[in-house]
Amino acid sequence: MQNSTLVEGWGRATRSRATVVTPGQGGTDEDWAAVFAGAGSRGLIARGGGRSYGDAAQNAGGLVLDMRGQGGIGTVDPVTATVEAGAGVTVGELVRHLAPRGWTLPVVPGSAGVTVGGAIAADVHGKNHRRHGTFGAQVAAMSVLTPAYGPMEMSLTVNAEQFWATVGGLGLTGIIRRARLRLIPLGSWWVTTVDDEQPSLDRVLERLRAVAATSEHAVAWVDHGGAGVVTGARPARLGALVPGRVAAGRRTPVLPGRGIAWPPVSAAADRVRRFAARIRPRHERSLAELHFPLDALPGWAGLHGRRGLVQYQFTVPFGAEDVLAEALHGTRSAGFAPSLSVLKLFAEANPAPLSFPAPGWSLAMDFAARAALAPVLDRLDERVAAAGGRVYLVKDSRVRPDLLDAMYPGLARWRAVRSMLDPEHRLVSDLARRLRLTDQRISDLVEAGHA
Amino acid sequence: MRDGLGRPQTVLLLGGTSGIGQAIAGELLPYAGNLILAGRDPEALAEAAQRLDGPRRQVSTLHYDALAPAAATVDALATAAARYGDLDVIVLAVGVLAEEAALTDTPAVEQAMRTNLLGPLLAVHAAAARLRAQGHGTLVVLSSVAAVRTRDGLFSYGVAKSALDVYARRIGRSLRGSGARVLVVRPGHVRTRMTAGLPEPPFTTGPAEVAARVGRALNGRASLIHSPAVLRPVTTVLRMLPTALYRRLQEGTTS
Ligand SMILES: Cc1cc2nc3c(=O)[nH]c(=O)nc-3n(C[C@H](O)[C@H](O)[C@H](O)COP(=O)(O)OP(=O)(O)OC[C@H]3O[C@@H](n4cnc5c(N)ncnc54)[C@H](O)[C@@H]3O)c2cc1C
Repeated sequence: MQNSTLVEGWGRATRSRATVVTPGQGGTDEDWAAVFAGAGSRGLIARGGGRSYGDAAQNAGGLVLDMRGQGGIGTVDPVTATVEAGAGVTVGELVRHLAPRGWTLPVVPGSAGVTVGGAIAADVHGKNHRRHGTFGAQVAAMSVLTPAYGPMEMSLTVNAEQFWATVGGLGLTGIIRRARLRLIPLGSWWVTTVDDEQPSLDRVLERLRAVAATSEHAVAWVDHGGAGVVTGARPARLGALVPGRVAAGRRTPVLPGRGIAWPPVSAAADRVRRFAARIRPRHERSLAELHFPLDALPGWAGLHGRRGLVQYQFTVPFGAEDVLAEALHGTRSAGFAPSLSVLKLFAEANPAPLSFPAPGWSLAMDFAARAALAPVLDRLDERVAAAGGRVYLVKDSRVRPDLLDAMYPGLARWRAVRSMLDPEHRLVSDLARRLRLTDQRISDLVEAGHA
Repeated sequence: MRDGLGRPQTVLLLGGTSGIGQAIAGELLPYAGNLILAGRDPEALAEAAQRLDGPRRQVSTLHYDALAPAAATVDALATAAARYGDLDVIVLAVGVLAEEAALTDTPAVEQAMRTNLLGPLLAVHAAAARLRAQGHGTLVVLSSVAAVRTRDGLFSYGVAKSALDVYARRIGRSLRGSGARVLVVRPGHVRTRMTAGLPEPPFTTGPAEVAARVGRALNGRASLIHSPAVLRPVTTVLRMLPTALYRRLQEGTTS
C-alpha cells in the first residue's frame, strides 16, 4: 500500500499500517460524505489523540482519519452550563481553557491528550465515577457523521438509541464531529490530595469506599500483596483559578527486557510508593497533576521494554473482591509483575451497551507485553466474566472474542443499532476485527433471533 | 488480528499434511485461534485436523492443490479469509522429496517441479498480494538449507527450493512498508514422514524445534532464519567450499 503509515497503540504493543488522512478543519457535509465514499474494502476508523493502549484506533490496510485538527472551543453557555467543542479538542486543552472562566469538565480521564471524540467513543471515566458517571453522560448533544444517514444530531432525546450506541461505540457507529458538553463550576485550580497507606487489600477497599463517598476524587494504588495507598482529593485555595505552568515531562528511554515490570524493580517501586505516602501524605497539586499523572512520563510504554506494554483493566461487582486479590497475586506468582496497579470504584452504569463502568471495583494493571503472559490473563478473563465483570475494550489488545457476550450483555443490541448506522461496514478497526465486533454473520444471527 | 502479545488469531497452512507445517501451526496457536489446513488429501487433512483440535481452537480443512492453476490458489486464499476474517499467518509448506533416481522421465520431473517450484511460487505471490491488501500478516515460507547448496542426489529438489527461497525473499523486500512480511525458514534435516528412512546428517532436528524457532522469529524482525540457528554459519561455509571437497563431505548424508 502506498503512503502507508505505521499506526501504533499508546502501549506500543499493537501496530499496523494504514493510510492516514487528515481532514481539513470544518468542511461541508459533502466533503465528509466523500470520506466514506473514498474508504476502500478495508474501511476507515477515526483516531483522536491515540491514547488507547491497544488497537482501537488502528485499521490495517485501510484508512485512519486523524481527527486532531478538528478543533474549536465555543463560548460557555452559563444558562445550560455547557460548551461546544470540536471532536479533536483534547481534554487537557479544555480543562485549561475553562479554568480561568470558572468552569471545568465533570469527568476527566488520566491523560490530557485524550480528545473529545476519543473520550465519547470510549465513554471514559475519571476518579469520580461515583459523583458524575462517565464522560458520555456529560454529552448534552453531539453531531455524528454516519455512513448510512450522513450527519446526525444525537442526544438523550433525539436519536437516543444511536446516541448510546455511539457513546462507548469505539468509533464504529460514526465519526463524531462536535459535541456540546456539560460543565460544572470550578472553585480552584488547586487541589489538596491526601494519601493514606493501608496494609491489606480489604483495608484498601474499605478506605477507598469511604474516601469516594466524601471526596471529589478517589483512587488507590496497590501492590501485589494488596497493600496500598488510597488517595483522595478536594479543592484547595478557593478562587485561585489560573492554570499554572506544567513542567514538560522528560522523554524516557526504551528499556531492555521487561524494564520496570521486572519483579525486583517493581517490588522496589512498591516500597518507595508506600514509604513516600507515609512520610508525606499531604500535597497541594494542580488539577493537571491530579488528573494526568502519567503525562509527566512520556514514554511510559517504552519503560516496559521494546515490545511495550499491555494494560489489563477490568471491573467486577462488589462482592467479587476475591477476583481482585487473585489478579494481584496470580499474575505475580506466574512471574509477571505489574508496573502499576490502580483501583477505582464505580457506581451506576449508564444505558450505553458497550460502556465499561458498572457498579463495583475497577483494577487496571500495566504489564510488559510478553507472549507468556497470554495464558495468565486468559484465565483471569474467565474469572472476571464468571464474576459478572468485564474488561475495558479501549484498553484491551488481547481478550478472546468468545467472552465478550458474557462481559457485555448489551452487545447484541449494540450490533443491531450499529448495523443500521453502518450497514455496509465502512467503519472498522483492528480491534473490531480482532474481537469480531461488527461481524456481519453475528449481527445477522442476532437480527434473526430478534425477529 | 495478531494481538498485543503477538498471538495470531488465524493461521492458514498451505500443505496441510506437512509435519513441520502442523508443528508451526500448533506452536502459533497454543491456546486459542483458527487454523485452516489446506491440501489435497481429504482423509489425511481430516486426521490432522482432529489431532490439532483443542478446546478453543477451530480447525477446518480446505481443498488446495499446488498443481492447480494459479486462479485456484487465489480462490483458496479468498475462501480461507472468508471463513474467519484476516489471515494473520500463512505457512507455505508445500513440497515433495523425490530422489533424483525416482525422476525417471520428463513428465515425472515436470510433476516434481510443478509441486516444488511453480505451485509454491504462485502461492507466495498470491499470499503476498493478499497480505499486502490486508496491511498486516506474515507469510512463512519453508525453504531448506538445500536451497543454499544443492545435493547431487536431490538436485531437482534443491534447485526448486533455491528458486523459491530467492523468490520469497524478493517478494518479502517488495512488501516493506506494507505492514505485511515474509519469513523464509531454512531447516536442515528434519525428522518427518517425508525424510523417514533417510540417513540423518549432523544438526538433524525435529519439527518441534523448527516450530519453536519460527514462533520466536515471528515476534522479531528477521526475514530469514535457519533451524537450527547454527546452520547459518555452516551453510555459509559450505557454499564457499570448492565443489570437490563439498562432494567428499556429502557422502552418506542427506540434507
Ligand atoms: C495515561 C493514560 C491514562 C488513561 N486514563 C484513563 C482513565 O482514567 N479513564 C478512562 O476511561 N480511560 C483512560 N485512558 C484511556 C483513554 O481515555 C481512552 O483510550 C480514550 O479513548 C483515548 O482517546 P483518544 O482521543 O486518544 O482516542 P484514540 O485512542 O485515538 O481512539 C480511541 C477510540 O475512539 C475512537 N475515536 C476517536 N476520535 C473519534 C471521533 N472523532 N469519532 C468517533 N470515534 C472516535 C477511535 O476510533 C477509537 O475507537 C487513559 C489512557 C492513557 C494513555
